[in-house]
Amino acid sequence: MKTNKGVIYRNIAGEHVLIPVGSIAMDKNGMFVMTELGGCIWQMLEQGTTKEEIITALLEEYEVEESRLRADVEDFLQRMIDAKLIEE
Amino acid sequence: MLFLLLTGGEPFLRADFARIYTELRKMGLMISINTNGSLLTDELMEVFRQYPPTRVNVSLYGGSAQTYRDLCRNAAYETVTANIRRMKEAGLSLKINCSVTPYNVQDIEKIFDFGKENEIPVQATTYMYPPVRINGEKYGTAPDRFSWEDAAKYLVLCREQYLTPEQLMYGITQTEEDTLDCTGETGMPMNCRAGRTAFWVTWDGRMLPCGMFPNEGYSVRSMKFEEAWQKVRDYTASIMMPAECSGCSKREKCAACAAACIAESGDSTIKPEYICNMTQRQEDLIKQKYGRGIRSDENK
Ligand code: SF4
Ligand code: SF4
Repeated sequence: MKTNKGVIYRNIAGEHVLIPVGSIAMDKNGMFVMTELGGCIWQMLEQGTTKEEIITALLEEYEVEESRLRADVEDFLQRMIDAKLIEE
Repeated sequence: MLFLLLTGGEPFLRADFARIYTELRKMGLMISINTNGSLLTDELMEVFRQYPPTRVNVSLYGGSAQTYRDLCRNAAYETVTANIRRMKEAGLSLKINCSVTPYNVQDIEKIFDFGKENEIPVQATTYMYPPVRINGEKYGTAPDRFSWEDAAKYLVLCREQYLTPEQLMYGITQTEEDTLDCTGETGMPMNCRAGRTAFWVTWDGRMLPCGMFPNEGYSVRSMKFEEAWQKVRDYTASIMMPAECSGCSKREKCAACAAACIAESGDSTIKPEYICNMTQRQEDLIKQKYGRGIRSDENK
């Protein structure tokens, strides 16, 4: 799983923002603002981290049940895949 | 920085435009481009397919080949309209800009029709800033512009192309916001984005609050970028608008801004008569034409 190379991640005044700049921008002309969690996941994905590694890392950071975190991460990834921001 | 407008002159004249544009886009900027649409090459189209701009604003100077020949002394109309269609077909986000002047006023309907046929929004203006920087120090004069009467008349004609009578009337009704904090005794500070969340850099590297300011600005070549930005912000914060405007119920709908005041009179605190008359006339024209019908509807 990897991020779409035509999408740029930027931290703008503390906001996690994705800006499609490649051909994907033809359909997605604008920007996406992510939650804190989304921003963390995106940055880890960009570094080639796998889904399982991401979940492990986040469990260390946040005090949350694994099942809930897993569901959140999977939901986020699925939505990003549907929007073609992430490639499977 | 998030939004960037690349403009000119004509940006496509630069041999290195594609490279500059691509590198900036890859930095994650939302880039709009102002162009006259006459110099679109296959190479540039390929760049735009790979890195679509946020929007391309094409200036259309007329609605016919004849007007282009008269106004631009060239036969660019066919080229420009073909290029607009080409960009539209490629899926780019487009807007047509049109400065209506005494030389192309006969084409207003044609220009809007072209926009409708091709499903591209048209933004037209009939107000021309006095070209102070080009004209030397002559504030308030623009040899080729309309009288304020005609500027108002044709602006209404432009707005009639895409607004219903109800929308036109709504545009001139007073809202609560119009009357907030209206003392009319002191001028208000600038309240647009210029010099607060936006800046302009000229071709020779001078930073200004926006491109319509005729001032020198602050050179980003002779000082640090942050320093120039701070000076622009300080300058913007020091600007006061005319006292009359702060007490005016039309101010939200009026084009009188700091840059326009300076261009019209050389002083941001002096009310720009040309624009003031134009705003008033526009409202009168809309009321005369559509006011009664709508009022009787309300009485039903
Ligand atoms: S220029 Fe005239 S119409 Fe416009 S805001 Fe000032 S006073 Fe009002
Ligand atoms: S033209 Fe006037 S309203 Fe527009 S950005 Fe400049 S100062 Fe502000």
